[in-house]
Amino acid sequence: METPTKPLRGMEIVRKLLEVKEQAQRDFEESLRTDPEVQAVYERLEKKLDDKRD
Amino acid sequence: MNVSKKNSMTNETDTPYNHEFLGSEQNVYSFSTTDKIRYNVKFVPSTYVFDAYPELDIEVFEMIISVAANPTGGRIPSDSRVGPTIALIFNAFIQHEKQAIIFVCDSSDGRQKARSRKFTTWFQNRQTGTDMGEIDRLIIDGDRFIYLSLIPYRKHPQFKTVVDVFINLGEEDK
Repeated sequence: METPTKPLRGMEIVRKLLEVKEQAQRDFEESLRTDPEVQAVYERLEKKLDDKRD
Repeated sequence: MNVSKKNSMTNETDTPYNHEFLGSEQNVYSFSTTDKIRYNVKFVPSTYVFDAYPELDIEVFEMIISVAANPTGGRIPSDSRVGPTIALIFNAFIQHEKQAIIFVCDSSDGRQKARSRKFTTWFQNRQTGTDMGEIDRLIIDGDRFIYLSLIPYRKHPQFKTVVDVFINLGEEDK
């Protein structure tokens, strides 16, 4: 039988929030390098901005 | 939405950038600026924050703003359209009074205080009245200074308890 996970408390929560935030930044940089769909989204958004400026 | 009303009254420097909702369970939004700075805004489900209080009926999300691709190098240039864009995304995501947002600024680059102030300004400029409150905390963990903001709806039926739990977060260890 699985042991129920003990809820996080106090500083554990704060550290977990920081960890998730740092991981999100790493994931974002990685997705920009390796995920063509993500790259395409930004290229599309940037093209719209460039078109508006022309 | 009130942000649009504001835009009609001000010049283009306050106009939010176009953004796209990429979805996923982390609720990802993307936008890019005229300086080609790429932003990624996520709302990551963070139920663990209040797990120790199962009586609280609240959905907490950590709002994370990631930045990449600075072609100019160095510090990101100031851009008055970024704040309204983030406010617009925030408003698009928040749908009901049981949702709450947590925003974290840490001291990894020494600019945590400025970043926390900037977030407060963005939040206050959402212009949707006083429907949500912002509770700020500074938590010191060793040599790390961590600024935390919780933004719950004032109408949440357990608002006071939610605020009390957040205010005491990290104090249990002392």
